[in-house]
Amino acid sequence: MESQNIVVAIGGVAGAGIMESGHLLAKYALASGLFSFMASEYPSLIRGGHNFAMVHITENETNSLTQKIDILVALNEQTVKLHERELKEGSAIIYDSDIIELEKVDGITIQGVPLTTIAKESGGEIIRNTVAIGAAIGLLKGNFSILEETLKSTFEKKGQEVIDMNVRAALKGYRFTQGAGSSFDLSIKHKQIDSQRILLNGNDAICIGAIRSGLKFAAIYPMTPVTSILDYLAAEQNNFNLVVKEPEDEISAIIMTIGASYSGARSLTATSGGGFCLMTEGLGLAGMAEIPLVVVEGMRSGPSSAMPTKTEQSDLDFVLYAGHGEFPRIVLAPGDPTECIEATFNAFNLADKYQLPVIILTDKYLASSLYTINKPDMSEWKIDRGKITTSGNETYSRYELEEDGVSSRLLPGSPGAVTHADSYEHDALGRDSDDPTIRISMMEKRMKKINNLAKELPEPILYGEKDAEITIFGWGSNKSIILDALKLLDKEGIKANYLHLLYVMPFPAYEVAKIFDHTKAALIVENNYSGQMTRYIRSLTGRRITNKLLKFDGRPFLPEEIVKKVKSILNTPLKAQADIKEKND
Amino acid sequence: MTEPENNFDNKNQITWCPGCGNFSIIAALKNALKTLNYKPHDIVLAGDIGCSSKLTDYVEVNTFTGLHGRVIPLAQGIKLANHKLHVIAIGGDGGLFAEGGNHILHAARRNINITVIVNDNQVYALTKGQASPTSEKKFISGPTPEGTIENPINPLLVALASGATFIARGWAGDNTGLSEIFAQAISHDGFSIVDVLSPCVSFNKINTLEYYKSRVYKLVDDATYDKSDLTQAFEKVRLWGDHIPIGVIHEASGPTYEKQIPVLQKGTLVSQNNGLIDTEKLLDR
Ligand SMILES: Cc1ncc(C[n+]2csc(CCOP(=O)(O)OP(=O)(O)O)c2C)c(N)n1
Ligand code: SF4
Ligand SMILES: [Mg+2]
Repeated sequence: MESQNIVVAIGGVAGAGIMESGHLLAKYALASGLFSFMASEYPSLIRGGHNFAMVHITENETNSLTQKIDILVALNEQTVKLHERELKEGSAIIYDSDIIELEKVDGITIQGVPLTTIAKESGGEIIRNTVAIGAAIGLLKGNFSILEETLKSTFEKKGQEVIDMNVRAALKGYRFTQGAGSSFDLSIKHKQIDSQRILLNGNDAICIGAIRSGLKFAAIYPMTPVTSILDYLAAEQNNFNLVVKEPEDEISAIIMTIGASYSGARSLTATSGGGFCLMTEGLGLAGMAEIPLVVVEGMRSGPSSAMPTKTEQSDLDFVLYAGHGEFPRIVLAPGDPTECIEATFNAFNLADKYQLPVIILTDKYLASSLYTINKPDMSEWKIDRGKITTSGNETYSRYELEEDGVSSRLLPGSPGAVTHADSYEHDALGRDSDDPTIRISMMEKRMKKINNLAKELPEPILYGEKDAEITIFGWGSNKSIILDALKLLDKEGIKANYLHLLYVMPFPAYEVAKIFDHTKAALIVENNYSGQMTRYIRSLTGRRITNKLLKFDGRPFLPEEIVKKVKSILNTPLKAQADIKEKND
Repeated sequence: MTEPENNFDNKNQITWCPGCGNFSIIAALKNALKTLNYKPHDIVLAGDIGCSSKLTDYVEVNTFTGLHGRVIPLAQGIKLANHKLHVIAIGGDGGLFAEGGNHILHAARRNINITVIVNDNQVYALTKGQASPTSEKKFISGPTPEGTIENPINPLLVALASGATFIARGWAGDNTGLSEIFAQAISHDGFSIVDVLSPCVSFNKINTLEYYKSRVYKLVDDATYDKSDLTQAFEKVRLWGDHIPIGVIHEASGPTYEKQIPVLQKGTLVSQNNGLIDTEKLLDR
């Protein structure tokens, strides 16, 4: 049977190259003209913990996981124990027969491969994972030359010896399972390659968007899930003329970023919730001193240390309101790598144009999962540095009261004038002041930026047909999962649509309220305990969504869970009606 | 505002108490900047929060008044984005050694070319007189009614141990000497810190001008002292009590942070490739 909906999962101890293997499979799929989506689970350990990557390979666009495993590749026994239950009739296990003993299970292909022996013969035990990938492709009756090309491009930088060793290892694995005459009957097809398609995770996408927009400076203290932003940018420093620093803590990170921005460099910092706690004083400083600032907040399980490598959307409330006092801010919650690139590019423009902090809210799932996307066309995107100037004269004053609330920003070092920035309330010249009249005019100056800003931001997008039986509300990384759920629902004849909230602050209250007017039933999907977006929507639109699908176990949603919830709502007329009644509250 | 004649004065109303050590610091600083012949627009004065940090309002250069304890990271960010600027950070003993104590260690070990000036009045002045990390033991204040039981830290010893390439102790009672120290610190190529013993007439009745007058002596008068010798510096910096050396305690040369960043050898960050960057190759890999 030929199927183009295949899930290969690979597990082993941390350090065994599990993520790399998943990546390799995804690249193989891309080179075969297929779509793939890879998500990984790993504990907060460097070695010895259980690492697990799932690659969902499909013919049509899919960017989510699904509730099955077709091939479980087990580099250790624990992988089998932990994931056996997810196997079904017709699935297969490929395992290292040198170290694991498995008994026959009815309906499941048990395919032992001496991974350790083959790896050692081919160049070293370290490449056991490559043997295993070869074996998986072999079992799927895949094309070895595609795998060979994929290995070559993957190890290109490591030299011919490493390439040869991996190709040898993969070939042996491939031959082992290909000739095994097994009862496993799934096979992987090959389609026309689309050269516009690429694989990308959220963090890399943010880096690309930032570099494209002219990023110059980044200061980032390592923290899952944003650490790879630090690594990525640091590796590109010399190619793109960036200065990327790992400072002593998140406080220093945000303050250095603000300092660099004051000097005129487009600057970025990134952290997770724990680090963002430390950054809040800097957020207020940027708001008060009117310094453009871009902060990436990659959410993970909280509060406190919680489950450091698990995904969650529980910092929405926090980023919306973090900091004392009142100041304008922008919060963006991109839903996939394509949106990450564009949102980051826009974030720098908005920060410069409105001279305020912009927060890009992502999560562990989006940050580190590999999506298949179409290469974005960025040719029309323009850099807008706002009212920035390097020529001052005797009349220059930094905080001049302007109609739109945004004053011209002279960069220090500009001949003929000096500039000021101040965390205290200040007059137009930037001198400390607690004069009530000045206070009022300066507060109004800063806060009115929001009005113009709100006019400029795009409306939220409603995916699917307008006239649907149910509207699903969501934000951030749940986008692609919900979109995949819509396809499943469609197959069952259920018409649902999805309202994606990307620009979270300022909130498009009017547009969202309008959506409710056409909504027959509503469901909101969030990765948190209390429904933070649900509350936020209610506070700004007066509309209450009673049907909530919430998850806070550190794992992402599966489209199937959403389908099930939608069906249960539509099968219970009272539930579906609840939201409609609320409108008359 | 206009670029003034290089006297760095402005008309802002000064709010310090008469007799405050900050007057000496500001005079010495302006004098040093004049001596160095720097242009106001090439200087950034970054301020912490405290009485001392008000200084940013009274010197006509580029300024950024930031947050309590955070002037050092602020100054570093400003410097890294435009290393042609002369960046001077000013703060008090509370902000720099308590709230932001961590930052000194790292700025010093980076040898980033900024100058940190500390108004060390051994008290939290702006908040009306609480004990600070440099308050002497038994210092009586609101939170320490029976006197502090903590030992004071020696900030310059900490800076030296962290790899600072220029450390100096100044005294507000010797304005000419202070100005010379500032000029040397600012023109030093690397991280420099000047800890200025400075009276707070309102909240520190112990460490007054008189108190230090009888205790300080100038290091420059000691011909045998070699400030480039780290071992001697460690010994000298620990001297306290009846004989307190003032002046440059240590000066060494070493590669600055900026010089070790390849990108900055092409020019300042702010001057490099402004405009759209081609990211095609990032998408293609
Ligand atoms: C985060 C924060 N905590 C506390 C304060 C209150 N505060 C302002 S200045 C200061 C201490 C000032 O002492 P120091 O830094 O020695 O400066 P001085 O006033 O003595 O010059 C404190 C605690 C503040 N502004 N910000
Ligand atoms: S309180 Fe002390 S430090 Fe502050 S201005 Fe008065 S004398 Fe100077
Ligand atoms: Mg003090």
